[in-house]
Amino acid sequence: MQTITRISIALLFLCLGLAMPLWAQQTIRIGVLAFQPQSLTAQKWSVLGEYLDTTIPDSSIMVVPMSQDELEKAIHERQIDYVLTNPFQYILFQHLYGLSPPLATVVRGSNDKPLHAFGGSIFTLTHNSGIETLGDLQGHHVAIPFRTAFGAFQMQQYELLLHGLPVIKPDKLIVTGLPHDSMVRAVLDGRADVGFARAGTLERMTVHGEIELEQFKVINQQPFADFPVKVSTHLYPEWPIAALPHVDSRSRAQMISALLTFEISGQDVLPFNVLGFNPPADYQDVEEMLRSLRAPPFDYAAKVRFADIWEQYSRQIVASALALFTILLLSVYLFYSSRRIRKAEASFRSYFERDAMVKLVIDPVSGSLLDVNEQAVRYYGYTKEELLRSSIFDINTLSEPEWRQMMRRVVDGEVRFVRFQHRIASGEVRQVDVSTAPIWQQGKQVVISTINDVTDRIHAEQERDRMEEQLRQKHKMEALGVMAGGIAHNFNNTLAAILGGIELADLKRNNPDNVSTYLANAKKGVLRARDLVKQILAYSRSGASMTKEISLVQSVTEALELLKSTIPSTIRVIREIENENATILADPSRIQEVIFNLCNNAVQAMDEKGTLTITLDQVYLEENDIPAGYACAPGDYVRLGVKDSGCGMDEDQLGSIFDPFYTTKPVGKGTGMGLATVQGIVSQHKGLIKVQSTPGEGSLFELCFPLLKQAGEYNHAELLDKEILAGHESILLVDDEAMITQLCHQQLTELGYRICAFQDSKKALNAFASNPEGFDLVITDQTMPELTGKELITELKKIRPELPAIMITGYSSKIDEHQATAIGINAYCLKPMQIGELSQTIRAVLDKK
Amino acid sequence: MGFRCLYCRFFPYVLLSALALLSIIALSGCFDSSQRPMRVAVHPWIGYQSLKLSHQGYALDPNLIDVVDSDSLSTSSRMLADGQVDAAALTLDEVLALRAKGIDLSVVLIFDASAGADLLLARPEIEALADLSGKVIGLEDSVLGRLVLSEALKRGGLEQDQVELRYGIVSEHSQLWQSGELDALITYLPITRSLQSQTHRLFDSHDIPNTILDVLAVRSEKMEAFEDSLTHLTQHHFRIATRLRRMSADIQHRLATLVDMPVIETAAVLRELSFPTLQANQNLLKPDSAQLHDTVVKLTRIMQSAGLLKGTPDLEGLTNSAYLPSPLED
Repeated sequence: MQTITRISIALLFLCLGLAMPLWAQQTIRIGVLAFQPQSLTAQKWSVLGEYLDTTIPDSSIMVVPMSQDELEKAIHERQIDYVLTNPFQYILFQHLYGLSPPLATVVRGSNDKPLHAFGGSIFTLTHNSGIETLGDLQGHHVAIPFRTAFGAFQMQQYELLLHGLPVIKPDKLIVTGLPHDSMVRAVLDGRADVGFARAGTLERMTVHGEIELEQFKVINQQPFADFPVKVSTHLYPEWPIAALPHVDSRSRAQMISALLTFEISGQDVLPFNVLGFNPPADYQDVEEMLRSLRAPPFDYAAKVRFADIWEQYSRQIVASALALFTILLLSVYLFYSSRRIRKAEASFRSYFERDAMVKLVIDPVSGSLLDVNEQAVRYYGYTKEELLRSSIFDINTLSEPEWRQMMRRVVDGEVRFVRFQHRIASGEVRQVDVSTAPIWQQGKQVVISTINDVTDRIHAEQERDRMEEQLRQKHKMEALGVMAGGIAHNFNNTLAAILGGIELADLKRNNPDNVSTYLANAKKGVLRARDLVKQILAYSRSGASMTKEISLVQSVTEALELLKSTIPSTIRVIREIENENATILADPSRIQEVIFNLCNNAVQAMDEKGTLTITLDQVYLEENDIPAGYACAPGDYVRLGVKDSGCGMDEDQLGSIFDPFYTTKPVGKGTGMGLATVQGIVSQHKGLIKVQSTPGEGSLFELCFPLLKQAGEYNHAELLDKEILAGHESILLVDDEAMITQLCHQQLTELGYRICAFQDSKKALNAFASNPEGFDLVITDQTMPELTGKELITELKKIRPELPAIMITGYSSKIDEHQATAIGINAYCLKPMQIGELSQTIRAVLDKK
Repeated sequence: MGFRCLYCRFFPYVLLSALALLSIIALSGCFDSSQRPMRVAVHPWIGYQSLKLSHQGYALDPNLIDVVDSDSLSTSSRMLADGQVDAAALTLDEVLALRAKGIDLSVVLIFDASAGADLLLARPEIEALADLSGKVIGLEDSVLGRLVLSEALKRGGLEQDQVELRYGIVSEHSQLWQSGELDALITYLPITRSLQSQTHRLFDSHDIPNTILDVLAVRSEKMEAFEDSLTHLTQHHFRIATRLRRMSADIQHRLATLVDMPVIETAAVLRELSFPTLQANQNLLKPDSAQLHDTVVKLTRIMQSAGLLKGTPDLEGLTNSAYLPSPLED
């Protein structure tokens, strides 16, 4: 029963609904977006309403102006059937409420210049020189009527986007509200720098006399030749009119037909200068704009497929991936590199800190100590902090300029090893060998110094040298001891000749001719004895080497002379001298030592029978002739050969003969230092030594010394009588030997000198002190009791510094020629002196004064 | 240290340097061309204005494309022949003529096809093409004029010796018509209002679709070097072409300014042009395109008969679709 009732009621309503158009007019409501008071706008739109009323049959048309919110509410509640609004609102409502496609598009303007599109303008005051282009808008305040204004905000923002510029940020917007004119006034008042308006606003206000167009300039003005107002943006289609979803097709068709045939009569005016309607324009550009601006209804992030991105940006993606991959690889590589560096640093730090050697890191410019290791702290006796606060100048005894100069050479790589003197905390100065390494540390050049204290080593070396010298001296003395018999034999023969000569002279004193001959023979004997003594003294001399130009022939002759008596007569001595006059640069005593050693060895090897051959010649040594281990250069050499016909040596012996303390002789017969000394002396003289030996046949030692001068250039000291020169000056003569004092007194008196002779050096000093100006010269012996000659001259010089002095000594180990010169002695002579030699020395000293 | 050790030690540096270099090359390739921009001559014909519109829309990269203004088709043609520009917007017949002169050109883009813009107007009393027999027809002494005439006569079942021809340049067409000598006139848009009122359209390029073509011709030897420029250009053409097809108000106003015509007339011409889509371009420019081949044969025949072309032109390499954008970029 209930069901039947319901169906009946439904059928009744359906019939009523179908019957309605037959007996009632349909009311069609058109909602129009309005920015002005509704009563005013409604009146203006009434022209259109009346036209549609008459055109569309059986309909009552109402054009209702509405604000944005009212319009949306009306659409939502289906209180209206059609909506006429701006393109932004249309797109929004179409998406939200399913409005129909545009039925028609408004045509505005005037009949002679109808406009189907509109744009936006961007303007500022003409005198605002800071804003000329769109790019200048950033940071300026912009006046807009409201935030969803299509022609007065969204168009302009989109234009900025199209230019690739950022849109105006909300905090820079001055929202003035409606009407649009208030936004223009905001710019005029200075409340905003720039205004966004629908294009034509400025022109309209100018026509109404509200502003002057010249007051404003339009930014980014578009080149539209056929458009009546200044536009800053692209153009967009005018307002569309659309139907709500509930409006049926027939109604829509009637509405389209009516709208497209609407023409405004001459005197009527519609809002916004609407002239009529055209077929609908395309609103895709508007939709595209809203999508780009992320404006409603597109205010959400667009969904993008990776394929789209890949299609458009594949090259950039590949490049970026490659770059990222490179960065990743670089990062990994850097990570491992830095770890390796950190390990290396830690390792270096460990080596540096734990090294048993003293290590310093020094700034080569300032000299400051940048780092020191633990050993340095122990060595120098300072704490680490003290060392790091100090500089190298607190340690090194070199002056600052000298040290800096040395560091420059170190940094340049010229020097790697330097010997310095370092002062440690106790004040002691130590000798150190420093090896240096300039390195870069944190972009700065520093020098790592490894310090090796060599003070003890130097002392040990000095001690060793001294011991060696002592040993050599002992060796020489031993040799002299061996030769003593022969020397005594020679000396006695000489003395016998002197004695014989003097006695014969005495016997024949009445026969002057014979006397002169005997005296001359005695004199020869004296001179020979003197030379013999000189040779012995030269050989026995110890101490520093004194190198000078010598004749090797002379050295050989002298050495053989001394050796003569020690060589058994059963041994035949052969001298083969080729180059008599060649000289070498050498220490004569050392050369004699060499010859003595070689000859003694040769004699001992021959066991009292055989032949000793001494040869001397000149050779040219090629590079190939110089054995390894010798620092010799190719060139001319003087070669000394010592050959014996003795037992010879085998290969094993030959390999060891130059080793110190190696000897083939029985215990007590040799020190084993002979040939080692020979080799050392030869090396000192930049020479070389070669040995050839055959067991049972003998040995040949060849010594080569660099030739200094060719033959004929050496001047032999001639033992000729020198001219005796007289004088008249006053001489202070001092010698503790009465015989010498007397002899010398007589000789000098004979020469015309005034002599004041003393045997006591103290008395001589007193005498001089009492009359310093009374003497022109002092001649003194060296070895005297109380005051030695050296001390006497020193004292005399204190009284009269310019006093000329001659020292004549038999032998003294206390003074030599160099030392004598050093204390101001003008001549240093050895006894005995011939009178001519003495007179010439005196004259030379006095005349030089 | 042996070579092997040196190699091991420096290999990471070499590898990283190579990768870094590749990245730089790849990245720089994304943003910049290694050479000067491609120079393209464009004269003020509505069909070619997509380049100028792209330029106005700040879309064309000046590092890739340099739009060189030309005052006419013949100037563009001469500039391309002389090598002053690398490419030019030309009619297809002009491209054939230049190729016949030995200038190796390739068509890489079809800007537009006349779809009504070239037309045959006739007195109202001439109702069909067949009625043109024995009539006087005015036309421009150009390949296009002859092409429209040829096609119109063919449709009307007429031979050329059945009509009498009067030649005059386009700017004189209105005057020529007013002289009263002509029964029909072959001309192109825009036409004057008086012509519109006194004539009716008997035949137009609607009837011969994809035959009268405006193209981008490039000197073949430059194509490879300007690959990026060409792709960039075609890509932006299709973006503008979409708006041209929609006839947006903004485009109409911009075009009107560019070609110095009122907006209404510009819109009228625009309606008589078709802008081939990317797909249509690909179909027309592919090497075995039968449609384009037919058009070229027609043009060749007409040009040969007019003495504008000697011999059979080599069509090998005439078109190249390699520089069209991928469909996603359209």
